[in-house]
Amino acid sequence: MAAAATCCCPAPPRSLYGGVALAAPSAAPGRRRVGYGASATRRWPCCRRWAHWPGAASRIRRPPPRPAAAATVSCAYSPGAETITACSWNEYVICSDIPVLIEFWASWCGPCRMVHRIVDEIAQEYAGRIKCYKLDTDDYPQIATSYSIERIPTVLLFKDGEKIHSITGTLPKAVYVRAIEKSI
Amino acid sequence: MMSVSSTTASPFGLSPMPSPRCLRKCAVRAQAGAGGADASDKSLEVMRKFSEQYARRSNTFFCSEKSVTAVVIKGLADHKDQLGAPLCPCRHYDDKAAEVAQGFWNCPCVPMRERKECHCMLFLTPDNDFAGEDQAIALEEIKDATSKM
Repeated sequence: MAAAATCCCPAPPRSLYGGVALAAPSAAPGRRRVGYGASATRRWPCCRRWAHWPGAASRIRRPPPRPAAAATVSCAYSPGAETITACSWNEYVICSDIPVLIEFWASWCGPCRMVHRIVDEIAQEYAGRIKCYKLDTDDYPQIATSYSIERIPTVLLFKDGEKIHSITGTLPKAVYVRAIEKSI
Repeated sequence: MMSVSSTTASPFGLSPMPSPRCLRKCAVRAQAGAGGADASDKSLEVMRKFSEQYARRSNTFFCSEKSVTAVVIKGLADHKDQLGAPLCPCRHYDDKAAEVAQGFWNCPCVPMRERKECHCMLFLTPDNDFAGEDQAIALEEIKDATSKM
């Protein structure tokens, strides 16, 4: 079986490696190199591609995902919207099981102050039903660019990892509330 | 507007750090109202004057909440220091330097000049819900509002 595995190329390298190690006598590492020589070394990098096979993900050991408990705890104590970073974007926005409201702002943008206040109020009023975050576009331009944010303040509403609503500019609180009510 | 475009080229950001003695001298001068204490104060004053002037000329008014006006003027002054032109602080740009060179969003931006649209809420037409009654803002007001953050 080991021989068969070595012959056909798409065999997983672990069995290939095991097969060779079992088959090769311990006395002849040098001879093996001569014998299988070029072809073996050539095949190795090719076979390492197993890491990219669809089923390979389960074989790669990843650190277990960080529990979201820490985030939940800090939420309970902060009254308004929290700051979000590019690193936590996937975890808090895409993977959230409740709708998420993100305010994109910049440090010296006047209208952002007014929207800050509205978002903080909404965060308190809808605590537990939606999550509210703020993202500084100067700190994380890649996120702003990927969601094609041009004007700030812009408020995006996400549900099940998808953007469902976008509100640009400073608008009365009722506009934000209406969009949220529709999403929950 | 003319005065702004004529001063955009002056390299405020390039002046060396003033010595403590110089700072003291400048502080005295600032109290006397004869100019800013350092480079950023100077462009803050330039942008403040420009805003007042442009509001009067375009018949627009500052926001009823003056802290919004103050923050925007501070943002314009910061961009003037960093980039050499008062780029609108209420937008996200991929490349700020390229935007400055392009000029579309340098204050007063094209939408403002053409249609009196300022989404930064610096210049508001009288029919805007947020418009106040002022066309003037004091430097102290700006400093107060921006120092809290």
